[in-house]
Amino acid sequence: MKKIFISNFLFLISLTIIAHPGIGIVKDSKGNIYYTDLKQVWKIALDGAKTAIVTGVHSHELYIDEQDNLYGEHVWYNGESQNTWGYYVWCLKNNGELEKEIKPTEGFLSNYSFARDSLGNMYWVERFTTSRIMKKNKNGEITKLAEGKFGFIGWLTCTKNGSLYFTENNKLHRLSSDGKSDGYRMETLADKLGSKSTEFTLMGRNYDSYGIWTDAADNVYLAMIDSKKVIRIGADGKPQTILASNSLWTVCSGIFDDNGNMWVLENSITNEARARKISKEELTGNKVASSVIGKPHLLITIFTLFGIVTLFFVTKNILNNRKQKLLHTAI
Amino acid sequence: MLYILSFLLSWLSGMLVILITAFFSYDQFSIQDITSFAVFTFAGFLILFLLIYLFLLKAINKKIASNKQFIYFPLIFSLLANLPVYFIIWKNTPGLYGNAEATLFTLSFLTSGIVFGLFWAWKNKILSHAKRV
Repeated sequence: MKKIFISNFLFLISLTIIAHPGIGIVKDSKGNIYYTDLKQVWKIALDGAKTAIVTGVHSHELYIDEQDNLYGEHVWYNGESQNTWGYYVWCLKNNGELEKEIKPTEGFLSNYSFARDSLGNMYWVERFTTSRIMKKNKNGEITKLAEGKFGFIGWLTCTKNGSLYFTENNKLHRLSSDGKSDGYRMETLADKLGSKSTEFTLMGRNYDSYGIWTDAADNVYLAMIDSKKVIRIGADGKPQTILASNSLWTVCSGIFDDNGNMWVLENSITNEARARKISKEELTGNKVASSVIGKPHLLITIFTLFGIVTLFFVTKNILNNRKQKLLHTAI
Repeated sequence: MLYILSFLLSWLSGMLVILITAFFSYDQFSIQDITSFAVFTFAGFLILFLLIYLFLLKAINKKIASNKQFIYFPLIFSLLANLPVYFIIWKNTPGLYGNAEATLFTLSFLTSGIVFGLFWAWKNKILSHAKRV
C-alpha cells in the first residue's frame, strides 16, 4: 500500500512538472465559448450545454474568425524509434464541416499562427538568441515587426485591432501600430509582474506568467500558473490580483464574454482542463483568497521551524537522560 | 536514535534556510517548488549521510579534542564532506536548474553540514563532561 502511495505521489509530481497546458479559449459571434483540453475541443452553449465538437486533437491554441470558423492545430510525437513530430491544422467551418487546412506534415508548424487580428493577419514569435516577432498578412507576405535579444517570451496574444501583448521574463510588452504606414512601436506596460519563480515550476522556467487576454476597456489580464492567480495590469502598469485559487486547479488563460463575465481556462494537477465562468459581479467584488492557508510557503516554513524546535528538545532530552545515567552509574 | 535525529535536524535546517531565502529570492514559491527542493535535498542528504558523514564522523570523533569540536566539526562537514555535492550542483548548473536554485541547494547543504557538526560537538560535550565526572 505504501508503495502505491509513494508511486502515485511521484507520478503526480512528475505530471505537474512536465505539464504544458493549453491556452485556447475563444468565443463566437453568438456568445458560445470554445476551449481545448488538449484531447478535444469543447463548446459551451449559451444555455450551459457542453459538447465535444472536435475530438482527438492536441491543440494548445484556438482561433475563431469573424465568420465563426474555428481553427486549431493537432500536434503529435511519432515515438522514440522515429523521434519525429507531426502536425496538421484543422478548421471547423461554421456549417459544421471539419477540414484539414494544412495536411499532416512532419516537424513543427512554422510561418503560421493562431494569434490573429480581425483582418486575418497572423503573428508569431521566433525564439532564438535574437528573437523576432513576425507578421503574415492575408496575401502571405511575411514582415518582421520587432527584433532583439529578449529574455524568455511567453505566449503571444493579438487583439482584434492588431495590438500584440507578450511577456518577456518579468515584463509585459505591447506591440502596436504607430499609425504611420506599416510601422510598429513597442511599449513596456509593466516591468515588475511579480512572477519570478523557480525552474521546478509547471513550465520549468523562471517566470510563471502564461495566457494573456484583454477586456473591453483594454485592461490586460495575465494567468500566473504557479502562483495560481490572475493579475490585471491597469493603465498605471501595476499588477493587481483579481482572482486567486487555493485548489488543485490553476488558471491558464481566459476571455471575456459579451456580458462582461470572465471565462477562465483552468488546468488541474492531473492535466485535466475545464472552463469556468467568473461573473462580472464576482470580479468587481474582488473576492481574492488571502487566508494563511492560501500561502503554503509561509505555512510550511512555520511547520519546518516548529519541527526543528521539537527535534532540538527531543535531542536535548535524550542527551540529558544519558548524562544522568552516566552520572548515576558513576555514583 | 541520535543518528536519525541528527539527520532529520540537519536536513530540516537546510530546508528552513531554503524556505526563508525563497521569501527574498522569488515572488512566489509554490507547493511544486517546495516539494522539489524537499525531495532533492532529502535524497541527496540521505546519500551523503550514509556514504560520507557517518564514516567521517567515526574517523574524526575522537581525534579532535572536545573543546575544538565546535569549530572543526561544522567546518569539516560543511566544507570537506559536502565537496561531492558542491561539485554535482556546479556540474548540473544550468543544465538541470538555474543559478538561483543552485544557490539554494548549496546554502541548504552548507547549513545541513554546519548543523550536523554542531549537533555531534554538542552531544560529545554533554556526554564527555558526564564521563569525566
